[in-house]
Amino acid sequence: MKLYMAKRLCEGAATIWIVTLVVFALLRITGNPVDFLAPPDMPWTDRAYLREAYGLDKPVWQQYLLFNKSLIRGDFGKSLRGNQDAALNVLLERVPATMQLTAAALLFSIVLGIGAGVVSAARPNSIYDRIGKVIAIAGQSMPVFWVGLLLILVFTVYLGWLPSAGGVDRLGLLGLIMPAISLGWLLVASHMRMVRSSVLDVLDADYIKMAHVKGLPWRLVLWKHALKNAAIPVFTLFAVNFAHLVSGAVVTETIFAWPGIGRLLVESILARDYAVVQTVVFFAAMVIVVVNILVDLMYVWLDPRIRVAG
Amino acid sequence: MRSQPFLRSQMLVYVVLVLVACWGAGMPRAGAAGAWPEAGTGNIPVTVDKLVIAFDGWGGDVLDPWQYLGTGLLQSYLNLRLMHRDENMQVVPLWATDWKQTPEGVFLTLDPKATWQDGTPATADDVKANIEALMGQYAPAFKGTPRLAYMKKAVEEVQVIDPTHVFIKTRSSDPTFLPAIGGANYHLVWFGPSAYLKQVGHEGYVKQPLGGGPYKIKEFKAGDRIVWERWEDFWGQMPYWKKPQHRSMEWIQVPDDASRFAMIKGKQVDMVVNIPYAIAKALPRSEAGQRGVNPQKGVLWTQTMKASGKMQITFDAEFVVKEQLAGWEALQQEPTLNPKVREALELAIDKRAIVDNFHYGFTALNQSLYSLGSFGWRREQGEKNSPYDPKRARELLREAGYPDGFSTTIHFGVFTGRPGQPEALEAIASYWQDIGVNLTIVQHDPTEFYTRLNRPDRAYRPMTLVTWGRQENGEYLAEQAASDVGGRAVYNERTNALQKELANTLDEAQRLRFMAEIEDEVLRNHWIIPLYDASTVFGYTDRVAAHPMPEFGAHFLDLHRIILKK
Repeated sequence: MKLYMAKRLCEGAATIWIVTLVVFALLRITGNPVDFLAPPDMPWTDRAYLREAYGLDKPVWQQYLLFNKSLIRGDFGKSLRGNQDAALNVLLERVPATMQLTAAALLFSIVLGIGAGVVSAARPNSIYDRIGKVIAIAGQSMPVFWVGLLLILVFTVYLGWLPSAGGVDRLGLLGLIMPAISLGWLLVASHMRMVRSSVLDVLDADYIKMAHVKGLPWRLVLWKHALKNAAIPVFTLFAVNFAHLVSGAVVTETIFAWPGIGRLLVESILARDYAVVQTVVFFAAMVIVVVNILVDLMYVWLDPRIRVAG
Repeated sequence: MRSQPFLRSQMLVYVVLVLVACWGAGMPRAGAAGAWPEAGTGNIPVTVDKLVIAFDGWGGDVLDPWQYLGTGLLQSYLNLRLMHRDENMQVVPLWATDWKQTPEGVFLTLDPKATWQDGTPATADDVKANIEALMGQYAPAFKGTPRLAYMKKAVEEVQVIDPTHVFIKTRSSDPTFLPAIGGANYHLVWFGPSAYLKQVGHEGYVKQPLGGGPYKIKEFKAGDRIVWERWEDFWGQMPYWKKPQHRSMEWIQVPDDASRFAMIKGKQVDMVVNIPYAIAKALPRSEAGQRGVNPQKGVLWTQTMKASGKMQITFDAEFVVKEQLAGWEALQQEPTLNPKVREALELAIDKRAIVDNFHYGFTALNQSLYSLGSFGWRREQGEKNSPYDPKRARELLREAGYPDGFSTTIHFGVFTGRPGQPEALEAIASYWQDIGVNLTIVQHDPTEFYTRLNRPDRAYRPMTLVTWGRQENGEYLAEQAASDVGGRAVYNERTNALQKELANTLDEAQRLRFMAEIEDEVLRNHWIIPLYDASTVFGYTDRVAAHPMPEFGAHFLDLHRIILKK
């Protein structure tokens, strides 16, 4: 087990390093941040001064070595925009908002996805199953931005019930409802389909038939015995989706002016704020790698029959 | 006895005349600036709680006035500028109550009432320290400002005469120097509390910012949200520079157009900055009555900040060849090197139709190189009829050797706050198609576009759709557009010589003459096709009674002047 963990950690570290290398290279290809920060009519002499001041006049390989040296020290550099805060602080300021949104979206998608998936599986080809399929198709075919705008139109413009822009710090929990539904809606479909197929597989198993024959209530058989045993692939999907949501809520955060890291990433890429982009990508890669390792380890806990091959 | 009926009829006439006069005076006149609704009069409260504004973006997020880059709208509310423009576009005092530019430099008289938010007086020493800081002194971690090289080149020394008088000695009699440091024309220089800035440094200042403007910063999240708190002891007492009616002001950055508009439709905010023209066309415009005053025709209304950006097609090929820049050989056969072709392309565009139909009248036709209504802009040139003559255009193409037309490319990048470019280009492509010219439109990332557009690259060939932010001093545009020192220059020996003369005279009449001659020369050669001046539309809910601000502008929003009904 220890050997397996060490191997997974090494793989994770290598993945993160490769990601940072790719991001470093891509950012340099897109251009120089001074060109963005400076007004269009800024004289060339001033631009040259700024490039020098930010160390952007050095050869790329030198910049990369410096970047790695700083990374080892835990120094992600300073943001080139705003007040030149440490990039890590800029990121950390946005993480809570993203976590709130991700958690709420995941919760919404899990509750609706599991509910609809189990009900569909319990009564295949019934009206419930068909409704579930419609939800799945609707969820997967409606883009996130479209769902978001539709929600804003109905609940903000026409009904005036919900606020549409800003984070929990500004709007309280009310502000979380529409972004969470908008973001979670896409996942409802995938969660529902995964739960449905997993539960359908399990429902064919002998121990379920046995439980049924023994006279256990159908509800108990379904929600306790069948769902629990169908949980492993579903759990993997939840975890992977969570990791993707942390780094991928860009569209939702833009539409709802949500102050999370997705929006920060877009703004930083457009501004070529190297340090912040690298930090956000590093963080996102880290979350995905760590979550994947945790999922692997959780398998053992969820199903004691699983043993890790060294 | 006979006089009595006469008196009665005379009196009746007088009464009718007085009534007519009173009625006439009360009638709103299109675009006229009347008395603004004032806090504390009628139904308008002296103080209200909060003003909320949604922006598409507010430029830079830098609090430190000594280390900002780009444009910094927020600095206008936190720190000080020397001058301002009122709603009649007049340059009026802000921190400086008087100013004079001579060939030797600029003499400033400062408002003795001005203080910083810690209660210390804002004096001539602050002017000196701020100018010196912008030239690179004091701050150990100094990263520069957009005007670093310019300030170093322009300023010889700053002499403090007494606490309210200062002389900035310049190296030449550059007419753009006072506008550059004054703040009435463009966002360039803000003055902060120098003693405090030196004491706490950059790190300390951004943690606890302190300025001399009408607001203090209560909450600050870069790129997302700023909450301003009214400074109760604010020293300004001018109509355009005084303590705001609202106790606090919240700025929210909402990049998506539809979301921003939904916010104002849902009355979540009091004002939004930049409503797309296609949406704005259906909303009541305050310009139909008194600008900036709620026309009271519904729950939403708008005000248009005119001529915030200038749009023009620039033919770069000739200058790439002339300067033998990289790849110039490939342009030898380029059709737009021929002035007849350039003239034909201009004649083929129905500019009026673009303004009226594609931009719903929100942009303004402007045949000048200079921004509408700015220094150097000539009405007879700016408002000149733009001939739309595709027949003559075809003839010119034939004369130039292109009877069947040709294919060409135009490059552009969209800059925030200057909407309508893609629509205009689609229209131009269609007009040129009519004379046999196939146009490929290439859109670039705006940053890259605006950087590589300039010399020494001139990367986008053979032509570009260029936009300039509004410049009140057209001399700057003349320098940039038509001399060998300009970034996007289209020039010859004559324009170059004229610009050199222009850069060295403070005589207003002479400057106007040089600018007119430069403009005539550039347009005569068809190096530039002036198209239109873009505008920015602001939307308000009916909670806003009035928002006095200049008719034209690039940046100054005068948000502290907004008057709320409740």
